[in-house]
Amino acid sequence: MAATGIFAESRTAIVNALTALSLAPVTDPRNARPLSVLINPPTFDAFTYNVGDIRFELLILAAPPGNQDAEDYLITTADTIMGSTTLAVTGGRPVSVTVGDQQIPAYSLTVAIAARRN
Amino acid sequence: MATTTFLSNATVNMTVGAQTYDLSDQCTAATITAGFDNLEITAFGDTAHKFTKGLQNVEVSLTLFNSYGSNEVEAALYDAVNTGTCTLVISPSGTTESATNPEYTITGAMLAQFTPINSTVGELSTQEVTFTGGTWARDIV
Repeated sequence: MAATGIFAESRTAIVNALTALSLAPVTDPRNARPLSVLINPPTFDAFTYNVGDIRFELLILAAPPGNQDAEDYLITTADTIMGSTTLAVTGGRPVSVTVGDQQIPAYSLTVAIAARRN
Repeated sequence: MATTTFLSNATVNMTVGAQTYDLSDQCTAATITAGFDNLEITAFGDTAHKFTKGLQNVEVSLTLFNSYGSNEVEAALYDAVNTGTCTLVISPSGTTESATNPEYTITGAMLAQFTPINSTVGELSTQEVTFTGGTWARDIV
């Protein structure tokens, strides 16, 4: 079943914005890999039944190990996303995520987006 | 037996001239403060102040999402401010008035000012507007 609704459309908007930045967004954790940006499911506050104040966590994934090369990639990519005039990045921090059985150096960014049904 | 109340938002319609705007889906809070002016009728010999009701007074506050587009919040409020008078019809839930869903109609309300742009990065763009004046009526049938 394909996702529908304001959350799915918001996710699609973020995928499109990341693609326009020549990045490789993925929405399926099974496809998460180094040099991609994993978009996690959103959190949200409902303003009304029609309007959502939505937050997505983006995980920029670098190639292990977590060395200078990985950090250079992560902060450069974080800067690219933050520099987008369409994506509202509200914060970010370095993290380590487990993909498969492997620890991956990553950067977690929070992106805010508002969506209304009509 | 318990009584359940859905905590959904109020139904808010605003009419400016011949155009009616349904603001319900962009409105997260609606407050009506309605009453009458109190006129003092204290007379010589009275041992306490006495009052009677005078003219109606009413104030309506709405918290709205700043949506843009034809018939959206910003356009509707601009219309109301620019025209100087509007009619508000507000009920707790839906447009079918009843004892459990009283409908309040404020005719001739004025919106003196609004906030068409309220933009902060990463935050929902909202505004609170206050309508004053006009006559109010309650309808349950």
